[in-house]
Amino acid sequence: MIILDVDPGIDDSLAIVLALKSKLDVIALTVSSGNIEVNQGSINAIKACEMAKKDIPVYKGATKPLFKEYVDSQDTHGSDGLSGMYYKVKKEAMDGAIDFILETIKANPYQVTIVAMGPLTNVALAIQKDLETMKQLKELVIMGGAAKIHGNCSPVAEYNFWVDPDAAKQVFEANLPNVTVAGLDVTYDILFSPNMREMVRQFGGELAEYVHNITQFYVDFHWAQERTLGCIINDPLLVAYMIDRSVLEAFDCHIDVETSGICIGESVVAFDIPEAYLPLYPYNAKMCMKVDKTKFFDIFFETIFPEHIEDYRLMKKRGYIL
Amino acid sequence: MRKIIFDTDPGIDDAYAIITAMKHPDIKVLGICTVAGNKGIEFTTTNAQKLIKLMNYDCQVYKGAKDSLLKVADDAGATHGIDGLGGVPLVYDKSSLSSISAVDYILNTVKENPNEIEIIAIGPVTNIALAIRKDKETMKKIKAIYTMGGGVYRGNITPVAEFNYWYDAQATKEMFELGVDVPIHMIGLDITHKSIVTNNDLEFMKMTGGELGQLLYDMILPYVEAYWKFSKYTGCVIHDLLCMIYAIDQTVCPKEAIYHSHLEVSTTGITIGQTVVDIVDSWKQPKNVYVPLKVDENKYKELFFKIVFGEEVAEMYRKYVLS
Amino acid sequence: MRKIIIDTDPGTDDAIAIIAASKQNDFDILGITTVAGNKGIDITTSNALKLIQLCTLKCKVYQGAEKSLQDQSHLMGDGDDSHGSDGLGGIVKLDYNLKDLSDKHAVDFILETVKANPNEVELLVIGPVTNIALAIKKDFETMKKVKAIYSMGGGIHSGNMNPVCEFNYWFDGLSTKLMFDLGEFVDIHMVGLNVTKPSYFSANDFWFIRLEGGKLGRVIFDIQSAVMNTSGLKEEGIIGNIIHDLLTVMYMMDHSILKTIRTKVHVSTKEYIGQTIADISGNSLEKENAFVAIEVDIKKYKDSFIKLVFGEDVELLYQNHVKS
Repeated sequence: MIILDVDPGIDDSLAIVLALKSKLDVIALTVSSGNIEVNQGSINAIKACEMAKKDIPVYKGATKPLFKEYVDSQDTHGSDGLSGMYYKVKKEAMDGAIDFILETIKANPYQVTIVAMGPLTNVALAIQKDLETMKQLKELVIMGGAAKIHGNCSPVAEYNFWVDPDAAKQVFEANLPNVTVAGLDVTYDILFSPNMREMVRQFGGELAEYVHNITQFYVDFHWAQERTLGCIINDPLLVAYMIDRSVLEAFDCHIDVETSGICIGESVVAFDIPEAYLPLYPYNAKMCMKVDKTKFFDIFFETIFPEHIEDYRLMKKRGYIL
Repeated sequence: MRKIIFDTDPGIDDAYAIITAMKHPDIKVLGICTVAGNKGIEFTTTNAQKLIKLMNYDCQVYKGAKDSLLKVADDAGATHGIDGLGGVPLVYDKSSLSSISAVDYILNTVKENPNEIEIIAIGPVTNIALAIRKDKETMKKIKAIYTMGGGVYRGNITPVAEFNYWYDAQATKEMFELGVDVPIHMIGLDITHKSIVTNNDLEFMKMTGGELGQLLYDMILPYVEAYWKFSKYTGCVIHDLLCMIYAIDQTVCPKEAIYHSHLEVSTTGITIGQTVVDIVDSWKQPKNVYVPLKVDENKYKELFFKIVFGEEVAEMYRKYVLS
Repeated sequence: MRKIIIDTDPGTDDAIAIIAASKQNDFDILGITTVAGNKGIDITTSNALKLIQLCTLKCKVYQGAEKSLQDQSHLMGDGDDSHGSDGLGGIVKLDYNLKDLSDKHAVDFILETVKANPNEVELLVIGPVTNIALAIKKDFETMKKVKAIYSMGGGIHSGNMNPVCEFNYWFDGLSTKLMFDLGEFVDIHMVGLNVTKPSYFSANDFWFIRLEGGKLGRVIFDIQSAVMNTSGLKEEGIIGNIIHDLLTVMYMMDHSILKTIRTKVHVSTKEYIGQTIADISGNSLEKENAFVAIEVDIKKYKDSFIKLVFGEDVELLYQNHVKS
């Protein structure tokens, strides 16, 4: 049983579509303010469900970070979080993300996995409310942080952790079992290239059009900001990892998060901790440091566009993509 | 002749750096300022005096700060051996210690030689910060500072902070504020850890380096054991030596990999002592540091052998070790 | 259990080979016979006694030939210190016990043991082969009943005394020739310089052994460190050392470490004394007398040595962290 905790967000939306079109047992989406504030984010989440032709519940959660002033990322994702498409949807999200998370775990101890692709505000609030229940999670998979690579909000901080560093810190301090983190160290290589976008457009159809449209702003931003041609799609990588664990390789580590000063939002990650320090700095997560990019894109395209598998493989073989 | 002042806490790797400078024909080491770091100030001062005696060099030692501005720890523990020089027995002359303090010595010397003095800062930078506090205008007349410390993507004393800077984060911050006026070159862990001096190299030095080679070999053994124990390196990282070699010849680092950037130092929280380097210039802040992120490790080691042991040994090094 | 006699002139590389042999579970080492070579017979014998103690071997030492059949020792430089003053690098102080020395001669011991165990005894010959030749001279028929001989010596287009001669065979060319004559009846495996030279241990390797190998690792490091300079750097131009004899014993344990070819080995007894001449093309029509090593799996060789002497965990560390 999987709950996707999201802030859609262009790459979140792609991740939702990927998850819902896969065989994963996704039971609900919970939303927090992140890339875009929670109300618009919920609309975007519902849109993604509609595109995947799945009707699953969407719950609204935190409207802002625990303490830090909220900063969205409209500059990256567009004024509505989806390149300004302002989609209309057929239903409304419910309130009560935190309670939903806790009740679901209580009813299904050690069976629920949360895949957290936005700020960790919802997860932290759930921990604050009922740590014991949260310890009965099967697994927590997080997109966030950066261990040995440049940040995207400062030289050292990644957006999800940076936007709510206190929440991130609380989540790691809770010492939950089976926490896996995939940060910029592995996502920087997941570049959705212009050729891929064009291929998707050529596939045709409603879903292809949607994927093509919502990534437009992201591509423009990447070009303007860092002269990258294409856009990095962080969040689908986690879903692909849920589908096939061999996509990412993770290593035991202790993670703590800086909550003030010039390094605010930085994930401080220690690997290979000497035994003497383990009581003080226990392994509280696994950090992904290696990624199989080809495998990711295979999963991504073949799951979202199963009717175009042959086209995708042909494009790959001809060297247009990857 | 380049005029150099060392600001240092010897320390095994400091010793390598100082000996290399003293062996270089175009470098005049004017003085050695000491600071607490690898060991307490008394140890580091005597160790500096021992190096002067060992090399029979004409300069003096100027004792500096006993405590960092933000005191976090006493010293680097056993990594450098009990005495800080790997337990190798060395003597010193009392007369090599000056009565002038490190801070005054630095300021006086810079005043007398404006825009000529280069500082090799391979310990915590407390003395530099104190000198800046005392007379910033004079410090602006330093030609360049080469400092071993920090890192862009890694630390050693914490996951994100390097020992020298962590030991005195506040002083580090104040030093880099000078970087707008004085070129500061930061040799950080990113490249020192790419320049491992292997046990093959050390055995080669012992075989070919005569008495000095044997001494440098004996001195570094605690390091070799520590690096194996903690990092599983078959060899060791001689951080300060890379800083010195870079100061001698910047081409050990490819030019395109030397970033002129804005650097901030974290002085609080779990990241204290971390250098935050805006390599991609997203902050658009004034540039205050040169940070090399790549190194030609073979060239670095070859230069060391050439300077300290001569061209013939360097030739053998190329022939027998590098090839 | 394989029944083994080690015929040796320890010798820094002999020492490591004997340590390795002592760790091999299915080796029943019946005795160590000594010969003059790396050092004079007194020193090689006392070194063998030291190794018996170090490796807690149950067998005895049998002193053998003092002089080779074709004596060339006068050609060795006086100051030859390639094995250190005591033949074991001159650093390690090892104890020995004279109770471990038999008063039987090496040649008699070899012959009696082969007689008592026909077609069962394997000889690991890692010094000059004088004892083997004397045994052949004394009782050829018995020597035909040796199961196999593993001999470190010679080489194909390779030398260390001159461009074509290796020390052990050069030291006693006539004996070497006699041994290979036995090769028509007994399997002789020749491990020569052409395979031992490329498979040297670097200083990094020795440091690893020192850091992870406990007490024995330290002993091995000290035995080897003194000779790194003399034979490693000065003679071979490497930072490290070739442990010729060790490759021979590791091959004896696992034949996949070396690729061999069955061919005829000629031994020169004139001019280039001890030179081995063999056609390794595989097209030789001569009557074969030996398996000659022509290729070595260096990684497997070193890995399996580390594993044998220090265990699997240490081998894993070695594989993951040590670049030679």
